[in-house]
Amino acid sequence: MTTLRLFAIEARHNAGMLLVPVILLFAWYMLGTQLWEPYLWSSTNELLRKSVVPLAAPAIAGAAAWMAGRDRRRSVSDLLATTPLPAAHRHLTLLSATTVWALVAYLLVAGYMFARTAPNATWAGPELWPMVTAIAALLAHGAWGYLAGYRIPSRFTAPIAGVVAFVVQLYLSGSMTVQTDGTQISTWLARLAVSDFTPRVAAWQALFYAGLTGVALAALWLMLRRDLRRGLLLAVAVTSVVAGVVGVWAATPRWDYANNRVVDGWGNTIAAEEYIAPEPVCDGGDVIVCVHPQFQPWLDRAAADAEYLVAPLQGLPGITSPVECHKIGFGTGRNDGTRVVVDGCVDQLVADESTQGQYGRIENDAQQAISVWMLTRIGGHTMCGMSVDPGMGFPSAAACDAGERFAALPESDQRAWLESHYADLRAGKLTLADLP
Amino acid sequence: MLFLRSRLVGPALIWLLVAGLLAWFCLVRYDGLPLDLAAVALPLLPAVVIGVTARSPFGDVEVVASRPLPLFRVLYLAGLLVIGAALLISAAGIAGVALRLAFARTLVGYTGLALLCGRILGYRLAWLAPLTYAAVTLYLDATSRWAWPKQVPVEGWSLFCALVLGALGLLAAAQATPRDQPDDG
Repeated sequence: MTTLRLFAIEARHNAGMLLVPVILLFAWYMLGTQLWEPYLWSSTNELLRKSVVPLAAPAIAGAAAWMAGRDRRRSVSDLLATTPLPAAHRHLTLLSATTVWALVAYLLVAGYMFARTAPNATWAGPELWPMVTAIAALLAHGAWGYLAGYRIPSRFTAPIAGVVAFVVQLYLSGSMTVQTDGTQISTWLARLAVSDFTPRVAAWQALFYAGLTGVALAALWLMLRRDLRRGLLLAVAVTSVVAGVVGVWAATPRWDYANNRVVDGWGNTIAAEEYIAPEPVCDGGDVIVCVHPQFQPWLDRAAADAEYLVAPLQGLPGITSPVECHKIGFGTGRNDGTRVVVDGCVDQLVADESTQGQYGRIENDAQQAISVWMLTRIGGHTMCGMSVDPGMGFPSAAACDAGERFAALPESDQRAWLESHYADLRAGKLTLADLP
Repeated sequence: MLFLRSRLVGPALIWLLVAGLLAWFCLVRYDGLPLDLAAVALPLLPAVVIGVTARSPFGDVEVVASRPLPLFRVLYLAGLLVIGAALLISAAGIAGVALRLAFARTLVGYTGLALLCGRILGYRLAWLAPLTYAAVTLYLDATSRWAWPKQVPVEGWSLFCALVLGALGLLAAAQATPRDQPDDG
């Protein structure tokens, strides 16, 4: 009861409380900047990793360092030493009361994100290991900040603890190496950062941060009084940190160029996991759109878009009923919002598969002109007016002009032209000169 | 002298030197360090050091000082700023990295933020604003108007932002006796 009351008092009069609104504002800003899509668990899980800890961890390290020096600042250390409550107990309470505010901020953000995602998402679920790692990382930053503040009671300790924590996180998350082919990949050190997550290293990451917390607490405990029990606790905590680092190092896959295989740190082959694609979900009447089940919330609109896209071609020879759209994409943007993109369906409508180039690209100018017209009709991205390399499947300026001319025709003229030329268009026999 | 000692100018200078050495080490040790990242992160340490040294242990007593303390405060903080910038510029110069002006600009802006934050939340928490702004800037597109700390090479807008923040910060630190209440909590 005394502990709880002390905890409540310490939490109420704590620098950590000031951090909560700052962390929440940062998270809100990050979710906006990183285009969080609340209907997708993949987006929620990723942004939960990236939107709280980058600020909360260094901030709580600074706040804990500041709080650790409080008793000495107020010159009450000697007075408190005479109280019956053990010193370790007092420090642990103050540290918990400080760190709890970062945890509160993190859990508020996580709760909000999960509450938005859970009722709407149609596939997958929350990733719990990254949450465990993030909580362990916040505790570790708080504990190390507190240790620094206790050991070095200076006004410089808090800001320096915060900046050091910030730079270390930055260093870990940006740790890259250049491969023999010139490309850059993350090193195993990057796997120690909270923002990084793979199932293979998740448990080791959590062990690493839990061990760091233990080391700081055990060191603090030892500073208060040296005995074997506390020494053993420090040894166990150091072992956890070492085990975590070695585990992350070993579990990080790397490419063995000599034998052309993926191996772990010990040289053991990592077998490729068999990817089993989930059963797609489909919707539509005359035009069918099938997508990965996670995109189901946008399927109705996609089916309507596809229906509208195909409408001017319905009834033409070569158009089957129903049409199943291929090359369905997914896009999220600040202006367009989130949607399943059916623009790619145009390719199969204007060109037979045999006339398409590499990766199904359209290379015939007349086909590109008609695709520009069709995309313009549905408000899709025509790629006209953009400086792109020719030959990559993008329409030429002449094809864009022809598409715009075609769009300006009355619907009856468009239909008449399509009825007489559609088969040749799909066969790739037309040029821009054949367009009206 | 008492004025300088009360603000821990000795340790502050040592920390500025450490920050300069750290910047030099990072620039020399990591060849592939992205310039914009370096411009965001490396001036953070000297800025927060300058920010926390604005605090006075005397509080209201300074109001009745016979000397014009606002001028002292500005000169003192500007002096630290010049030393911090010179050390960062030297680090970039020795490492042969074209970040001299970017370091100075970001340091001035961050210090302004720290001093403004210190004026509002207390100088022991002065580090929170530059730290938060640096964290935000990491995720901004370099072309954004808010991303002035990471814009390399230095251009008019980013310089303007930094100078305005620096001037406002110095003004805030000069005008008022630093509050001791919230930051001693």
